[in-house]
Amino acid sequence: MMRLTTRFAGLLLGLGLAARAGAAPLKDVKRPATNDFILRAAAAEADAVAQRHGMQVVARLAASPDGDGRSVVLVRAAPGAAPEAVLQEVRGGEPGVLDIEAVVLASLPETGSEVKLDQRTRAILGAVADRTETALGTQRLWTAYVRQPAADLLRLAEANQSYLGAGVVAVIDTGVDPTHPVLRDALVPGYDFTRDQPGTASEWDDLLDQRTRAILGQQAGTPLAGASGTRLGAAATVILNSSSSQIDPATVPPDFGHGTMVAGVIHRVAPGAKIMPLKAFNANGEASLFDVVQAIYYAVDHGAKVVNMSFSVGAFSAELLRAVNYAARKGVTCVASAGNDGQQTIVYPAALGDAIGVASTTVRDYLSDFSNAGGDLVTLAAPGEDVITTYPGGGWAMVSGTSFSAPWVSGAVALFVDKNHAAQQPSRTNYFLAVDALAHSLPVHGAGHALSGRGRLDVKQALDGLETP
Amino acid sequence: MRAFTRRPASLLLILALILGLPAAARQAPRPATNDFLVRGSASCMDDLVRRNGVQVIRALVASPDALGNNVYLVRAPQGMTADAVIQDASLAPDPDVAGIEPALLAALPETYQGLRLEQRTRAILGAVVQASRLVPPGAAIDSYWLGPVADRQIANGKTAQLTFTFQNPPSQNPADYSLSLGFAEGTSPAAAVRQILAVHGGDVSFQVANGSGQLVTLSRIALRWPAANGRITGVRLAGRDLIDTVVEVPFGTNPDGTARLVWRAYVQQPAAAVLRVDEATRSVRGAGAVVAVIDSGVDPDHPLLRNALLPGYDFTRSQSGASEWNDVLDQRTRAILGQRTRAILGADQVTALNASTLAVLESTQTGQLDPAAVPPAFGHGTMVAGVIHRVAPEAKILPLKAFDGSGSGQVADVIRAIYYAVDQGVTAINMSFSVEDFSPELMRALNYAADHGVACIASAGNDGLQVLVYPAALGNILGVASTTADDHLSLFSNYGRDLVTIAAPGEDIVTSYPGGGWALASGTSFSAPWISGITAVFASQGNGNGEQEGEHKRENKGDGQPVTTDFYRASASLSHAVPVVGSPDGAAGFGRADFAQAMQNMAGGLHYDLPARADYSIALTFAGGCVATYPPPPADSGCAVQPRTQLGFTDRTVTWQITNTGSAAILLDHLDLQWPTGNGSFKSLRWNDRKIDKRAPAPALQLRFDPGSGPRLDPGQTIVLSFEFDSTPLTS
Repeated sequence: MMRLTTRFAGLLLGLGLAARAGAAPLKDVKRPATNDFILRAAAAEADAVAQRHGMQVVARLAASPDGDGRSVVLVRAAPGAAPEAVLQEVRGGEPGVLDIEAVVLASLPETGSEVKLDQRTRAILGAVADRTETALGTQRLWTAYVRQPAADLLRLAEANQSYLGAGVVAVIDTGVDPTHPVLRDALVPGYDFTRDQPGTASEWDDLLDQRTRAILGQQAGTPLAGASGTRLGAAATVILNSSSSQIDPATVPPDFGHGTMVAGVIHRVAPGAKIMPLKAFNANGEASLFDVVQAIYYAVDHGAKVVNMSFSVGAFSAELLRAVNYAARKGVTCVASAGNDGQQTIVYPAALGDAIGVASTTVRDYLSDFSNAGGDLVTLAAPGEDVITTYPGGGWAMVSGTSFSAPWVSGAVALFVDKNHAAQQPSRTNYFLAVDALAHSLPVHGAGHALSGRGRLDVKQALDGLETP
Repeated sequence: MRAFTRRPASLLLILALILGLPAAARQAPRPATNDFLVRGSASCMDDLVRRNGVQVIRALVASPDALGNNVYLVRAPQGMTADAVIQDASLAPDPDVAGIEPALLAALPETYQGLRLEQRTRAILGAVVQASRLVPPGAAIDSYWLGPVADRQIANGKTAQLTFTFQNPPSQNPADYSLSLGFAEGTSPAAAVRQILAVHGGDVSFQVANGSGQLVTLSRIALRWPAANGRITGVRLAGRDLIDTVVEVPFGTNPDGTARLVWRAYVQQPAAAVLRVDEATRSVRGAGAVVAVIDSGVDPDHPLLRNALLPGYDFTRSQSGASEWNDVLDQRTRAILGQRTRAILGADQVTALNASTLAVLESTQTGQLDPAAVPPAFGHGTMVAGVIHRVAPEAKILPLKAFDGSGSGQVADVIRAIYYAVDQGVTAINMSFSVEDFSPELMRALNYAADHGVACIASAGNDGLQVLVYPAALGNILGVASTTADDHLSLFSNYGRDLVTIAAPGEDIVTSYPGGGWALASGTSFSAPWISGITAVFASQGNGNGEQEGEHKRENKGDGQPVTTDFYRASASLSHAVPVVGSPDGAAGFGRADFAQAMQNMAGGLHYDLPARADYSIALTFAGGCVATYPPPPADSGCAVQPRTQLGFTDRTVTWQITNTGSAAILLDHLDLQWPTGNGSFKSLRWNDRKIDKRAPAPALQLRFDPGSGPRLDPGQTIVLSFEFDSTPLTS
């Protein structure tokens, strides 16, 4: 610690504020209310059911283009209504009701977690000194990003010689920086479910403080001489140019940049794939499960081939199960992070049978201390410490957490889409082929099958093992 | 029907029992106790015991996981609800507690549901009874004619030998017999009947001489014989069988290599024909595969199953063995049900034991048995096992008893059974039960199974609703709905594509019943085991035909090894299914399983077909008038052409595969196609390398080919027809 602080002035500031006191105030973002429920009813009956029970319809799930007769709405019960009583009342004796559940809060695992930067960080921060650029697809990008240790481990250079990725990867997260030079051309229009508006799903909309916006917004391209790492949020060290060290980390919401950082990892694996930002989380790392469910259906119905879900929900939700099941049936592969509790627990959607759950490993192929584990949760592992990726404002960050393990896998699946382009089918074939190919992986030290699933991802080996149906 | 009109008493008995059933409550039983499941280390359990005074009943898994955790069934002290303990655990979170949840109860869906036997059931019951009937003393034989009319003809001036075979050694006294014959076309008396020619073994023979001056056709045989002879088991004229008294047919082999004879109504039941089981199992019958049956146990001595059964385990009593008999307390009932030690002969009574089960009993037993003394779910596991055995007679069945005779079981015991089955290396797990509430520990156990490549199959439940039940709704489970013999969704079956992967027949299934007996059963519980049997055969197929019986162990794939699991292959192959008639889109998942078609697709690897939709249909008319349609399935096509389910939907095309299974080349004359309106207009047809452009806006079209220019199919040839639409075709 001591040596860290002497070497990087910026870190001192960051570490001092690492313990998050509370969520930052956000700009006009709706918060999930405790008396919200997801109601599933027979076609077009949801409104009538809601009315009969004195509930207000707040939002509705867009009908699927192939129409399965469902009618799923977000309803709000009268203030003060006890959730258990509402569930019991609506479930019993309503023939049109197919299901009802209380809306739970989903969270980005990095928000309140125990992810700590440790000694290894020092070595990697040395990357800041590197000011060269390297080709990635059609771009020339910062070498420290293109050739980062995780990329070597995953054998991305070899994989990218044959495939750069294809199809659309939906990123259900905090949104993205739509003007980031690295990502700009890879982005397709998305949707901001927190504000119910289509478009760029920009993360900037959550950032209230104008001065902070201005400072962060001026980063661009390869870091300048004198750049250093500043701890912003719970898990990210943002590389800021020296002039911007006056930033007050307290003005940056804890999960600001999460979506841009996740997107940057996907882009590193599959620079040829498109990224569809679906903003369901606010910058405090919270989302209503209804928005998450909406986003999954949206992704599937708007042509995504992969859905990256770098978040976890502690409670089971039948609607989340249905949505992930829908995606798998439609040939869309869902990838989810295993969570950062450092336990052998289960979280959703990672634990669902139709999702690929991803744990985090170190660059030396040990399971990360913070990563959840277990064969019943984890399909495989991928590097999730000190990952160098894009940060809003055209900048860069180094970040740790299972949120940044999952997108390596999502990117790998986008390479599968590229390789098996002609064989893509709207069926579970894609999911099964992907799981099978991903299993061409490497052992995780000291963590057998029962902890790390199939082991640590090797993208080159997985691509070679991909079957063509 | 005939059987019933003759014996109205038995029908009245059945109806009375059905009407007398209490109205079924949809609500599954709730946990009555303050039990819950806790995942944590042994020391963590000690803490819980100390802090909350809870009692640890047992660990559910044989050995702790990689972090030293196990799952424990724990009981809170009197007056302390599970909710309170859970709340306490979350208020003061113990980092060692990795999970806590209330212990739920699971139910066999047939036991608390109001399944109704309908008209169809009566008809099928008639068929079952007739198929197995021997001619009772005094009965006229003319209602049993078998074979062509020519078999019953005697030429002018000829004498034919008419032979009756009896159950028991027949009386040798000619005065005990009286025979009268009727002949067609009013030529009576056309023939002279000589007296008994011989009594040989069980046979009694008459000489029938035709002196009428013309060919005569036997239309009626009335014979009186002494009751001590027992029933007639065969009638032959000039060596040809005249009546249908075949009760048993060959089904597999006995341990000594001889052909095993099994009740025909079981072997040749409609459901097996619908699934095309015999076509699919000509070379592989599940050898080497092991199917775990988590259920009410099994009758370990049932002659049908005996050699297929492994010892199993009773989790309700924590002892080895899994006999269902332990749940039948009433000794008299045990005695009645247990006295049938061999396959059925002359079953002529069917008794409704509960809403979904009709036991086939000897007439002498029917009056003695009090259905109320039979626990409602008694026989459930034996019936499920019998269905698996029908599909995969060479597979082993591992009975795991987690349910009692009332059909209730603890999820904790189900979890124990799943881990046990996986650790025993089973191929598949059949779960003919459902739980309405989600249990994280149940999911974890099933994730463990899936992770080890075990195919898990569960019934969709019998509420007749579009609901989710577990485990069927979980992503790595094959959820199975029930269909009728004519491919409609059963009224009682739950449905919906979030729940159902595939459907299989689940009405009037003829299967084994404890005591060496047989029963007709209905419910999704009896749909799931067809699929379990199919996955066992798949595994056997992928296992070098499973030559080493009983040695099929899943390879324990180490880290970094590819895992193409049985489950993936099974579900991909099963996706090549048949549409379920008149059900909402996707309500029955991929549709009704077609085992033969699925077997053809096993070799194709992980290729999924899409749910077959009933709103696509094709009719192919070939030169010469032969018409092949799909759906319905090819059985009724009447020509040697096999259209298959829709092969695939890519971009704007739907493709169908057609195979000429005959021995002559045929030419397509015209085809009729119907498609859902959502596809928009039809644009073009391709077959192999040829293309026809034609626009058709309506969702139906007929394409006629000039004589001789239509697609030609040589014997054995398969062509692919691709229809292009102007928007993405609807798939599911």
